[in-house]
Amino acid sequence: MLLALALAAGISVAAMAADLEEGHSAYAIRDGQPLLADKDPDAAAVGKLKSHHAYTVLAISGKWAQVKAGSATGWVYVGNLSRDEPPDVNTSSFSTDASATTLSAAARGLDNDAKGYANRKGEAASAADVVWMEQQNDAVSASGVTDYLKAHKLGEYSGGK
Amino acid sequence: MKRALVFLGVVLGAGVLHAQFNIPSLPFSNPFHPSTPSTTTPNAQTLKGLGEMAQGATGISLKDEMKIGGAVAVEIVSRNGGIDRDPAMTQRVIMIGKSLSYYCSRPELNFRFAVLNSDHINAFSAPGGYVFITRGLYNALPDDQQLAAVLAHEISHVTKRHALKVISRGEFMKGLFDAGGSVSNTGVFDQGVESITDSLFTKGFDPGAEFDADNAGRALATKVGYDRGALLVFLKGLYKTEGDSKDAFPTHPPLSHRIARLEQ
Repeated sequence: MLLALALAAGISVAAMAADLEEGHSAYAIRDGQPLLADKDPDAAAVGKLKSHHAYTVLAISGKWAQVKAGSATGWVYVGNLSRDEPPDVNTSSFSTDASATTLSAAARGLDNDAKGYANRKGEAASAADVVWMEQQNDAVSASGVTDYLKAHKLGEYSGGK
Repeated sequence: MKRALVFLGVVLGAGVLHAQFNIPSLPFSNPFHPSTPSTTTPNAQTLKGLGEMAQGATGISLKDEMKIGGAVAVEIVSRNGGIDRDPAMTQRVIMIGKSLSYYCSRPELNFRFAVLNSDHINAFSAPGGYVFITRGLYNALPDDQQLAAVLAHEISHVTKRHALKVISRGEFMKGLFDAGGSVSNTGVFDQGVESITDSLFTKGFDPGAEFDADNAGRALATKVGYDRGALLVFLKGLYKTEGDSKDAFPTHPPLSHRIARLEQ
């Protein structure tokens, strides 16, 4: 039984890091991703990664990848890296205003044009439901998500190096 | 579980949306699909627009994605009985959803999750990060692992821009927005959103995109630490109850095909 569990865990980790390879490039999935001194989410940050910069994976150890950023070398949970460069949010737009390319667009509530659509279709109640949905979700802070990951041993808090 | 799964046949009769968890089998063919004769005659501006669109993955900015996604989300809610506001159920879906979206490939999106007030078994997503699961499907999922598998599938539709790729092929988007970025031609916008959602509810999404979401969703769930095999377990459970019956799944690719793809 223990062997089976160990094998299953091994397969899972291998699948998780399957798209990363030593000696190949990797990208941080979010800008400012901390580069850690050790294979531990609570380790001190020795640098920060940029999302559109290719970093060479120096080594992979379990769920952690060692990369070099400038003069600093450190560790990143493999789930925070991707072999593929993140898409550019400033992809060409049908709209012409500068704000169309800002990240704040995703943080806002239901767009006025979507609300207008709902009103014209007599779906104001559904729009109100979507706004309620947004409020419930936006009430969850980033630290709340981190606490959930820790409590449920998910992501970089799943334990093991 | 078995009783809940029986609802699937009913669900399928009601039609499906583009990014829904249950897979439609018919090839996508709406009036805006370039391979299908259009209901309108493309003009020079349209053709120029299509050329411009081809330059990018979808040619749609984040802000425009939120406009389109917001309208599609309203339609999803409207067609599925509204949102079930049960606090415990909502919170569970949100937290599992956010644990997944935290590690997804489009962190610029603010994913939002909710339960639809419907006893059918289904799940949907809309551009911009709106993810829905029906109460019927929620109740049919026995644990966090399978709930995560379903949500990860829907998240992957969004991160891979499956819906936007369909929309961006359309002719109706070009020239919709004014210089300030607002919709200037509401008639065209409304018709476009309606046509898309109508078409997607009834004809479904490209099966290839669904297979893609199966694989990407499983990879995402695994990355976060959920059971890699949960999606397969769920699909096999459905297959055991429903098989590949076309009566029960008129718009879906056979479950056995999805299972076989995941087992490869």
